[in-house]
Amino acid sequence: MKKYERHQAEKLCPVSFHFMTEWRYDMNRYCEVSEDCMVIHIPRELDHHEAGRLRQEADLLIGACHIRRLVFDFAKTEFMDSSGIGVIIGRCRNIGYYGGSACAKNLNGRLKKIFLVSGLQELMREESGKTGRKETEKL
Amino acid sequence: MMQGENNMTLRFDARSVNEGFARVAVAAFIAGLNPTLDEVADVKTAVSEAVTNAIIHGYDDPDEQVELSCMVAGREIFIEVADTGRGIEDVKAAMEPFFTTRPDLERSGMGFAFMEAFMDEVTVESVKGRGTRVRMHKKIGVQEG
Repeated sequence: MKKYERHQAEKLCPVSFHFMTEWRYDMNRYCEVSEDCMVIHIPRELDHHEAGRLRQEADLLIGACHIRRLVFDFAKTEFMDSSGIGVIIGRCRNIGYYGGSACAKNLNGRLKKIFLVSGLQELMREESGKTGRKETEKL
Repeated sequence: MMQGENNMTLRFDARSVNEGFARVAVAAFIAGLNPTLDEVADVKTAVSEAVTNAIIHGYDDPDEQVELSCMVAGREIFIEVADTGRGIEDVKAAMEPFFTTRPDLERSGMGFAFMEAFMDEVTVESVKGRGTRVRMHKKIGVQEG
């Protein structure tokens, strides 16, 4: 993490930041926070094995950083099964409890099919645009 | 093009890390049929669902074994995923979309629905306390017409 990003993160999440840095050493980081918006970069393959780690990280940050807007960025994603659907629906519900909203980004043809079969497209709108990283450049 | 039959069987521990291994192994095994990318993705998703079910719902102990068999005959693929775990009480109910016995794990209840959507045929045999066997079948090369 760059010095600037670390500074920003400490400013945003003063309470949980030290815990987060300890905890993320042996984990990939999926989430990117800026103000009340969080982009979740969905990994290349999202199955039951990967879903647990993503859920843990996302829930910690949604609570700690007072997130109101969730963006699921599927730019890297090549595979997702119903376990992935479960974790996405779960995070949508959680952000709903906090009065926030969620959207999806960079869905390829395959993922659109998965969204269609699962009915997830009814639950969440798709946002056009290049990459989720843009979201955080407002800072 | 492949002639006749070709079989393979894998046995692995009921650990979630093996879900990725199982679907990639099947994808590699069927590569000789020259499936489209979409067909490979369909089969991988279905295998992932069946194996995940065996791991989560079949067993509590990750040292138990999941058996995955695959047969290719002509343009057809037959896949079987079997466990000797808990078994399903009511198979018909379990196959209903959104039915799940593990909402605590945020299971979406769409595993069987996904298998049915992405394969041509799915049959489930289960005996409570004895285990579950999921058989799936798909014909390759149908999409192109």
